[in-house]
Amino acid sequence: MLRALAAVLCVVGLAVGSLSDERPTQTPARSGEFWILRSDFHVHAFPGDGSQTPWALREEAVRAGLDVIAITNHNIVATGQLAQRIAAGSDGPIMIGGEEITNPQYHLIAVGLSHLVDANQPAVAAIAAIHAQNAVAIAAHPTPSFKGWDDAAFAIVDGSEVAHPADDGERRKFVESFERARRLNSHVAPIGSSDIHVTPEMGSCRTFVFARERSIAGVLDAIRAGRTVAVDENGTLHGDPDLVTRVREAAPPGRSDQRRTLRRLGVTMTWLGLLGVLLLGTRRFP
Amino acid sequence: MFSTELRVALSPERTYRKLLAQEGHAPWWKVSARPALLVVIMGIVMPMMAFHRVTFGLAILSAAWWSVAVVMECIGATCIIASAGTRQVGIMRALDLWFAGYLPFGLWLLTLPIATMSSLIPALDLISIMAVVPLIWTAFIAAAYCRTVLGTSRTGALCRTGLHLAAVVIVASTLFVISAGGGIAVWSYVMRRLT
Repeated sequence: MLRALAAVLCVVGLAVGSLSDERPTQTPARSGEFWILRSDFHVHAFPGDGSQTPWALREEAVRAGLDVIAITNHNIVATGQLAQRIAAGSDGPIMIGGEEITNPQYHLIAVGLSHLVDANQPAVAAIAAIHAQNAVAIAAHPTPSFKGWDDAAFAIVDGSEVAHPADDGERRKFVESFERARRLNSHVAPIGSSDIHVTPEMGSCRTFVFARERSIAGVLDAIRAGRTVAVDENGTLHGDPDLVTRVREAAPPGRSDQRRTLRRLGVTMTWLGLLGVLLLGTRRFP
Repeated sequence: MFSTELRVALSPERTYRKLLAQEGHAPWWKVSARPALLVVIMGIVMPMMAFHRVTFGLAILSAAWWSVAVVMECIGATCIIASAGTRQVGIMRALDLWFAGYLPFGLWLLTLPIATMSSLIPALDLISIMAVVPLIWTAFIAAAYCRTVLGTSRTGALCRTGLHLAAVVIVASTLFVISAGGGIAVWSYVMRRLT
């Protein structure tokens, strides 16, 4: 009897969770000739080092109020390619294939990649290999502990993660790295990313991309030109003052969570039901 | 009141003896119930951790992908069962009793959505550290299983338990290292976290 009740609680919880699921249809904001595309360029997926499949991530991107996500698994390009194929030609967020080139000396995000870039080379060579594929290179969570980020690498990189989930100390280091990159190359794009593997929330840090067109090419062009604004978890905006003002004026909508109570109720009921089923077991002791 | 699985987790050797004495036949649908519950738990827990929500769609999608882990465990368990010529029951019944020891891993999975809410420790670090508890707990259950259900000697049970534990750790670590960018990348990550 108790076992059945626990199972019912679990199923009802799932039903409540499904009912609370909202998929807002938001058109990206416009500012003059540009679309302001809400983007997360550092997302990990399964199969690989993420916990969620590209299909589930795309659904979540809609809830998170994102127009673009890039799948960037560590030294793997196949999952990103799969994601890009899934999203191609259909409505919904744009998914771009990429890779997080992972070397002990640096981590480097490549967005718009079609072939794997070897991680066993200096950052400068890896950035050149990314550019050879017409993709863009972004310094991933660059802190001084990554010795590969020297002036030569910062001078040719297309973007730098200035907003990335972190504590205050690390956040300062990201800002310092971005300022250093900007001194060497005034077109370096400020980038905000969540770096979701299992947590944190997708789009917790995000990038507003000023793209001329809503396409992969439009997004990559905007990054190359440095037309982005990054926002961190505290809501601080980083980027050119003019673009920051435009973002403030347009106020692009963020994560939609209007049925929060129902969502939490669904999670709690499902969790408690599952705990009950687990403890009460699949059958009684004979 | 207590389920078979809870009794196995708390007193494995005694419970397995009683089960061997009392139960007989294990049809396929009964055998698949426990692995199926594990798949359901994974399907629900994964979106809970990542998205703080569960829906039928997310649970089904996640369960389909993560069922690979349960299939791998089935293969490993079958190898252990087949290696014991002294086993007291048929292979299906032995597999059913093997999965009766899943409670520690089930509880570990269920604690993950709560544990990973903390932003103080990175989720992957926390998941890895917390995995030590079900690994050790399950090793005790597996040793009792080998001694009673498979009828092996104490040494045979220790060998099989050690091999199973090693296989789980090696397979999980290898997959983790490959997906995290290779051994050097993981090593550099660990060193950075320590310093």
